[in-house]
Amino acid sequence: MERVLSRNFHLAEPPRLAEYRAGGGYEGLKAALDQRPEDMIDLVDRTNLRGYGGAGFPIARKWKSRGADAPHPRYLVLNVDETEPGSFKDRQLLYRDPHQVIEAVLVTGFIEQADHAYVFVRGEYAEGARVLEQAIAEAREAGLVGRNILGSGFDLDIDVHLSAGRYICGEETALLNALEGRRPNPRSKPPMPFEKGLWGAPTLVHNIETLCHVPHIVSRGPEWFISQGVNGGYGTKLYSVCGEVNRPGFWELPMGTTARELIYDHAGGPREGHELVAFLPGGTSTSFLLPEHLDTPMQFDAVAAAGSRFGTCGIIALASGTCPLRFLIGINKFFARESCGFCTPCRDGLPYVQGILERIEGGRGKPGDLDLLLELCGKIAPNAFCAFAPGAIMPLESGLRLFRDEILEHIARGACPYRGVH
Amino acid sequence: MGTFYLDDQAIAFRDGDNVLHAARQAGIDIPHFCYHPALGSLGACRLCMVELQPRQEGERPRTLAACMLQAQEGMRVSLAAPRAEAARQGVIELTMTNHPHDCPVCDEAGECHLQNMTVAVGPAYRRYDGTKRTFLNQDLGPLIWHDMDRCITCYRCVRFYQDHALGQDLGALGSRNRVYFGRATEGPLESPFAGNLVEVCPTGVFTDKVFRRHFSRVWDLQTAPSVCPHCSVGCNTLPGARAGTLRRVVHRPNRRVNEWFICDRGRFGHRYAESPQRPLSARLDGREAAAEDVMQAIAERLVDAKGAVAGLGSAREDMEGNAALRSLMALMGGWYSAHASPHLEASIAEAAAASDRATTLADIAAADAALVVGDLTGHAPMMDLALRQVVGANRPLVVVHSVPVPLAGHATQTLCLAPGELPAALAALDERLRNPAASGSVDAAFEAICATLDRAQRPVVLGVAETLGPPGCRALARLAGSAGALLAFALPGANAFGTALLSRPGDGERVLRSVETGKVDTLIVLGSDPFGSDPGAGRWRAVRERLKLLVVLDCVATATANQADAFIPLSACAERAGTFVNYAGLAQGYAPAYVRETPLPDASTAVSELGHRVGLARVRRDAEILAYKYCNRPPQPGRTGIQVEPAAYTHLRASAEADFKPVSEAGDQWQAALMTWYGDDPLAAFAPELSRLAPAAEVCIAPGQRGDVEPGTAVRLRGPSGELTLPLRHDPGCAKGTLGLPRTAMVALGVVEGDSLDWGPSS
Repeated sequence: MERVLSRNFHLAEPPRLAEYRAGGGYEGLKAALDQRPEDMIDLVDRTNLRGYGGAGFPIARKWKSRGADAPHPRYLVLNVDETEPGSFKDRQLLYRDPHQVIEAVLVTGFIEQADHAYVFVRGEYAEGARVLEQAIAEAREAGLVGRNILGSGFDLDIDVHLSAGRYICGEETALLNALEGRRPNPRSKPPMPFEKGLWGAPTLVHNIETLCHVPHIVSRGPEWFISQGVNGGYGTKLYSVCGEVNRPGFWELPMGTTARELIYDHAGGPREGHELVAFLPGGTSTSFLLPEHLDTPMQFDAVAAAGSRFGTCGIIALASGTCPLRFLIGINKFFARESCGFCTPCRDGLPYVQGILERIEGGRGKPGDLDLLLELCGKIAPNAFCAFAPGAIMPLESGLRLFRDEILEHIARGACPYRGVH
Repeated sequence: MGTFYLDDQAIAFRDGDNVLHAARQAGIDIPHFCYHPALGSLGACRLCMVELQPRQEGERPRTLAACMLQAQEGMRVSLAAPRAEAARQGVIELTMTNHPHDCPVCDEAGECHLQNMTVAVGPAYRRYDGTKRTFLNQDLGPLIWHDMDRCITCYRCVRFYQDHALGQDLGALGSRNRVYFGRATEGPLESPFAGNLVEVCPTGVFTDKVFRRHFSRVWDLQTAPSVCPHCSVGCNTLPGARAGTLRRVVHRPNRRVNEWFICDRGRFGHRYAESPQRPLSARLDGREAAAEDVMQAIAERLVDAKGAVAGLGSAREDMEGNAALRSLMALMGGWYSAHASPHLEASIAEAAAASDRATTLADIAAADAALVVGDLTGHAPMMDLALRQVVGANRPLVVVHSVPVPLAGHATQTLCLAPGELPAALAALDERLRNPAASGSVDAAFEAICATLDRAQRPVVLGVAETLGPPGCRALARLAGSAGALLAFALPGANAFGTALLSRPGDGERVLRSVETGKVDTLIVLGSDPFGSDPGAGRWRAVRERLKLLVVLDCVATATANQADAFIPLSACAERAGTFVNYAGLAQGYAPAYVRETPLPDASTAVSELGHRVGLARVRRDAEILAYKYCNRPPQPGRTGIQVEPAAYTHLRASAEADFKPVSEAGDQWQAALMTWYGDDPLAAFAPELSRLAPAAEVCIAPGQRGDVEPGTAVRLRGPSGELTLPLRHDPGCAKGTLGLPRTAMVALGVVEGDSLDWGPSS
């Protein structure tokens, strides 16, 4: 398989402009500037390219929803606020090939006829933001960013904004609030950002990995893109596996590669002497899948059919010997801490859950705790304001059901049965 | 317009209404925390969950927040659905996980929205056994008490403080279940409207610190519908008293005036009634005496005075009291006016005459452009709050000022002019508005103001009568007419409009001159302070020695009251019934909320009693006819008020035709201009907690005008009535050649806005 997004990742340093161009860089931009935006939308539509930030919304449908006649100014926002535990793919693109990111923004900006682009970078990726800013300066110098790009008459400037750092800033409406200098609480939808986004203007927010595919599709065609995938998936995907595996890492592979291949062939399988118990397929905010699901192709529809979510497709593996309750506590602790504090179910529900989980783990569980936890799951997820709490509840609720016996054993023994097992 | 169904009950809605709002209009209160009628929907608390029934078979019902759900024709929504009820109970349970169970000793108990919702929605019992989150509280100044442990994170406080009142020093800090509503550092809240936090907070995070120190359970408070006595807006209030003392004041909704809020002057100014300096005993010749005896002694001396008497009422005294004094004077052959300053009397008459269709606060808030002349924050704070809605909606606000004013910081355009330049500037604007062809005849700043007003569909023009003076009021009224704008004036005093109905410009001059010329040696002063803080006090102080008898009736210890030969203490506003006519000519009645242990008479009773004792028993009857002449009958307390009849404006316009003192030609001389603040009011000046926030007395000039004096150094000012030394401050909000002075300094120097002054380094 050809490496598409990661073609420059072997370099010791991110490629400078000349090096990037020598490898065919900015050819996608040239190809795009010669085409009509609406034709390119149709082109991308045929690939069914979906958002890799977690929600999986088809990008061409986003473009069509906003429409070609949306009022100006229009904004393009690149969401590089990758904070999902288990996901570390977006940072590779940012740190290792910034010109690819710039080219993706320019091509998409041209398709959208955007007036200004913002790259919103996770606070912890400050070094990546600096690398990107340097590359933008280089590109601006070469007439690739700014006014009259490559003599086409198209103008687009790119600003990099380093987040002050909160998980919720990756939620697109909270991100817009953060960009505006407001408190990053999610906004109510409707209106959707493509209607009223940044400063009330039509705004499209994209994941970085999704966008990096666009120049390639534009220059090489949808058929080429589709042919890159396997098992019903299209294109390539930056997959990653972490957790209790021998070789955690990330790999660009055909979309549709099975979980077994990822966990066992690429990540080297579970830690020595342990069995795979379960895995989260798409970062923490997805439901658990079991060893019986290992042959599921890791693509949107197949993972959904297996009862979970593709999400960002950062797999987290759980192996025997680790207390699954502790695993759930770790995940929930993260979500309780990262809640923005806007709505009651999320703000006060997740710490409530956390207290019960920790009590059980500490040997002070009570009969009925498991039912109480499941009842709270049923009250938190459906009543919350945004998708954060449902995402937090997904691993929790599926874990509570999946590890029911282990949790009841905690309560019955008054102690963690995994203590001293490691 | 349309109809939807809430548990099979048909509910009418207007386009854009959400389900919660439409249900409220129909009298159904869907449980909620973060929704507030004045602040709108937020969707944060999730208490207002309802079930939306599917339109088509096969679809599942959805549980949604009613405040975020737009009503649609034929929509079916259920409040009673088990899933919706479970969702609401889930929210209550979660909300209560961190809320302390201190209801029995909580300041908010009895009027706690959280308590009401918890009891109404359930669950009644707690099963959460974890720890509760705690915070450190902040000292937010003398007015507001902070208890963050009680917070349920509904964001109402910051939505009021930041979004509605445009305050910047209170915010939501932090995240998760530790969102903290407070200031970056401890210190007094800066907003003139901070006290409303007490009422918008659905629980006891922000409580009334003054009330807290004189606490009563709210169900033990005696209340009655009242009207705020602290400015001309006439906000409706609900004073609460217990055991013969006034404990607090909260807002009372009246859509014609203030629907949801009051300012801090209105909320905390009432403390004049419990001030330790408040005079509660009658005095005669410097000694306390029984009120009965003092009354009799006054009556005897009045008979001796044989008509050489004059009466000075007050714009802060009610219609009944002023009318009684005027009736008494009419019968005794003496002059009456409500104003110590003839200049101010003329300003009020001009402004009131032009206020025949004065804009309401709601109209101000809905304006698509506004022009303001003067410091509304200091003269009519609630007009300022209404204007902040114009700013919040990103509509243009033009502020014309001579001294620093808070609204200038929110304006889209400001124009800084010396007081003496105002009438001519307004006339030039008016000329250009009438004659668009003349564009180019005015400078760019004026042109921009005209363009703003020309573009607007619903412009409002607001002015401060005291700042504008008679010619300025007249010019501004003309300008509003040319702009097709609604107009309102902030008048000096809760009943300033009413006093203009009882006298005519010139009466004040006649009262003063009758004393100056020695025709009159007996003066009855009702609720004003001609020898102390009233504008115009300079001339009065010069004639104090000529008075043989100074009779004062008042509820506060003014300088005039302190030097009275005979003093009768009066009841405070919340202790009596009466009528104020507000800036828009709306006559509003108020009722006594309580009776003091030793009851004090109201103004009209005391004056009528005097009349009775001098053999003029008809004073009370005459006064009743006079007081309600333009509204036919006494306005009932608790109702929305009676608009004065057109005949009132006929009277006012005839009054206003009188000539006024021409604008002083200041030339190159420095002009005085009044610097106020939101607590600046003769009654509120006696409220100790509010007064602690008063800015330091300073004289203020624009930077770069006088090289010989450094800011921070003391300067010497010389006016017609005296000299004064004050520290100098530089502020770019001052117009060139303008000296911004606090009210006390203006009075001590004997100057009004635009008068010229000499000043220099104090050494």
